[in-house]
Amino acid sequence: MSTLFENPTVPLDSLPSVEEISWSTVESRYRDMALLKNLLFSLLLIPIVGGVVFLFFLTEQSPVNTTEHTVLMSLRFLVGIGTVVLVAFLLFRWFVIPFLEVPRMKYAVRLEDINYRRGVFSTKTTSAPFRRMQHAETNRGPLERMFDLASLSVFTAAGLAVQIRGLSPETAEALRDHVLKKISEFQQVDSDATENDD
Amino acid sequence: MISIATDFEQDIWYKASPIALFFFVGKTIRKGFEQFKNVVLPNSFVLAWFLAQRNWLLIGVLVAIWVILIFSVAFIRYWRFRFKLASNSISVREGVLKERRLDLDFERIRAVNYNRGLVDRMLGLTGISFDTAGTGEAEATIPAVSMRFAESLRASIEERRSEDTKSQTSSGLTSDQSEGVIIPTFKWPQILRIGFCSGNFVLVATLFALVPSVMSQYSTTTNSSDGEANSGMYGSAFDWVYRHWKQVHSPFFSDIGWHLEVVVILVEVILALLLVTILFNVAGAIFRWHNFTLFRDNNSLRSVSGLTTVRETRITLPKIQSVSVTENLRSRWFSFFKFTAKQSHSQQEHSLVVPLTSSAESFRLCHLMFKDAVNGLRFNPRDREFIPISPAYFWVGFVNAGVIPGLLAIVIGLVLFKSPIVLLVLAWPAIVAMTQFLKWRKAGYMYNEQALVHRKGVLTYTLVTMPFSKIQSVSVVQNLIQHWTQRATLEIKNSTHSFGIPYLDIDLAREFRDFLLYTIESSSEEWQ
Repeated sequence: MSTLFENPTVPLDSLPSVEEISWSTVESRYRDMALLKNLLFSLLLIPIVGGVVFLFFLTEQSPVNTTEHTVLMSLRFLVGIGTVVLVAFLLFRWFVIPFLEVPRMKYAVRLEDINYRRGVFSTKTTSAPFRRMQHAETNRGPLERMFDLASLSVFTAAGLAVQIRGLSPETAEALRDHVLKKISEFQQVDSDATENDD
Repeated sequence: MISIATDFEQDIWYKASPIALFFFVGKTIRKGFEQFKNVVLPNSFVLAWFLAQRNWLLIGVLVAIWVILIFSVAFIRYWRFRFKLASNSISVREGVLKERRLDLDFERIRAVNYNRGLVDRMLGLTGISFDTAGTGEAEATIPAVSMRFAESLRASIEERRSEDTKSQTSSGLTSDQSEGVIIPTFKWPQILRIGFCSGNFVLVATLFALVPSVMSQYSTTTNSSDGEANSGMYGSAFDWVYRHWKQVHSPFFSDIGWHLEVVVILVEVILALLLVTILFNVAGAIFRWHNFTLFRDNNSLRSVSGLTTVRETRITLPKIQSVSVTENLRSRWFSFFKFTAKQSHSQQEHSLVVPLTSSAESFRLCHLMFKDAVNGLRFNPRDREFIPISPAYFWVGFVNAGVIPGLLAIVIGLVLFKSPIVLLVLAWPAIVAMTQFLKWRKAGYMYNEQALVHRKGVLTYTLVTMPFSKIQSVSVVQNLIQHWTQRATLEIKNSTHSFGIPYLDIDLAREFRDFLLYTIESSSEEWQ
C-alpha cells in the first residue's frame, strides 16, 4: 500500500530562522515625527503640572507646629517627588526614547511571511505568514503627510497582526500591494488544488 | 436557483405568526432584565420594603403596570418585526424605536439553530436563529415558524453552502462519513452535578446587601424596649419575622443574649442563601441542560438540550479553532471538566459547550476535531507530562507586583504617618507571593509536532488546545529581565485565543517560532 502523503522528519537546525534575516529599518524621518507628536502632546502636561504646583505649593499655609502643618508638609514632599519623577519619566519617554527606538524598528519580508521587530528595553518580534492574512491597508495621518510617511497594517482572522509605522509612502504601498497579491495567490492556489482534487 | 418549499413567497415582507407574541414577551422581559439588572438588583431592598409594607393595593397596581408595560412593548416588537426570503438571502427588519435591518446571505450563514419554547413545542413550531461568520451584530431570530419550513430552510442553506465549500469535502477531513451519538443523553445525577457546580452567586451577593440593613433594624428593635420599633423601614414585618424566629428556636435555647442571637441569625441567613443559590443553579441547569445529547452528522457536531426551550448548536469540525477544558472550585471537587470548542471569528464566537466531561472524554472529542494532531497530548491538567514554567516567572511577578509597590507604600506611609502601623502593608507582598506562586505552579505547556496544550490558572486549571495549523501569528517577546537571563516569552495568537508561554529559553523560543512558521507555511491546506 502506498503512503497517502510524505511526512519526513524535519531537521530542526536547518529550519529557516527569523534571526538570520536581513532586516530593514524604518525611515529615520519617523523619529522627527514622533518627537513633534510628543511635543504637541506634552503641551497638555503644562496645565496639569501648573495645577499641581498651584494646589500644593502656592496655597495658604496653616500655622507652624500644628498637626495640619506637618501633614501638609509631608504631602507636599510626596507630591513634589511624585511630580518630579513623573515629569522626568515622561520627558525621557517622549524626547529620548524616539532616538533609541526608531533605529531599532525593523521589518523584513520573506517569501512566506512578514516580520516586524521593535522595542528598546523589551523587544517584540512578530511574524505573520501570508497564508493567514486577510487584508492589508496603508494609513496616512496629517502628521504623517507632513513628514511624507505612511504606515502599513496587516490583518489576520485574529485581528491586527502587524502594524509598521514610519514607512515611506512608496514602500508602504508596494508592500500593501505585495501582501494583497500574495493573499490572492494563495486563494488561487487553494482553489486550484481543490478543483484538481475534484 | 434553490427554491424553498415554503409557506412564504419570495421577496415579500412577512409578519411573524401571532404565536410569536409569546417569544416577544419573553424577549422583552429578558432585555428589560439585562438592561436594568444593575439598577434592580442592588436596590432589591426597596422591593423588600414594598413587600414588607404589605400594601397589597400598591403592589397590585405596580405589578399591573409592569405587566401592561411588558405586553405593550412586546406587542410593538411583534408588530414591527418583518422578515423576507429571497432566493439566496434572508432579511429581517425589527426594532421599537430604532429600526434594524439585517440581510444575511446563505453563504455567510454557518449554522441554523432551533430555539423551541414550550408553546412552540405544543404547536409544532420553532424559532430559528443564525450563526454567521464575522459581524458581531448578526443575531436574529425568526420566531414561531413551522418545523417543516425550518427544515427546508436549513436544507437549502446547507445545500448552498456545500456548493461553495466543496474544498472541505475534498481535503480528506470528511472521508469517514460517520454519524451518530457522540455523548449519550445526560442523566439526572449529571445534571444535578452541573447545577451544583455552575456558578451564579449574583443573587446571593445582592441578598447579602440586605443583611446589614436588617441587622441594624434588629439591634434597634431589641434595644428599644418600648414599641417604637415600627418606625423603621421593615417595621411590623420585621417584628413578625422576629417573633416567629423566637418561637421556632425556643425548643433549643430561650435567652442567649442578643449578641449570640445575631450570630445564630447570620449563620442561618448565610446557610439559607447558599441553599437558595444552589437550588436556583440546579433549576437553571435543569432548564438549560435537560436531555443534553451530542450528535455527529458527517462534518459537524450538534448538541441538543433544554427543558422548555430546546437549544440546538451546530459546529463544523474543520472550522474549530481551539478547544478549552476548564474546571471551577466545585467541579474540581467532583472531578469533572467543562469542554468548549470554539469556531472561527473572534467578534462573535460560536462555541459548542459540553458542561460535564472527563479528561478521557475530552481527549476523545478533541481527537474527533483535530484528528491525529492531538496524539500523545494529555487532557488531565494534573498530568506530570506537562512542562513547568521557569521559576523566574514567579520571582519577576512577585517583585513587580508585590515587593516594589509594598516598599513604595511603606515609604509613603512612614513619611505621612510616622507610625509603625504602616508595616501592615507587608500583607500585600505576602498575598502577591501566594497568588503568584499558585499561578506559577498552575502554568505549563505540552506539545507534539502538530498541536500545543497551554495550561494556566490560579486556584483551578484551564487548558487550551490549539493545533499549529490554526495559528494566525507568532511573536517572541523579551523584556529587560528576560534579556539579562537569556529568556523570552512566546506569544501565540489565533482567531479565538491568544496566550504566551513565559520565560522559555531564548533559543528554544526562537526555534519554536521558526518551527510554527514552517508548519503553517509549508502546508498547502487552506485555513478555515
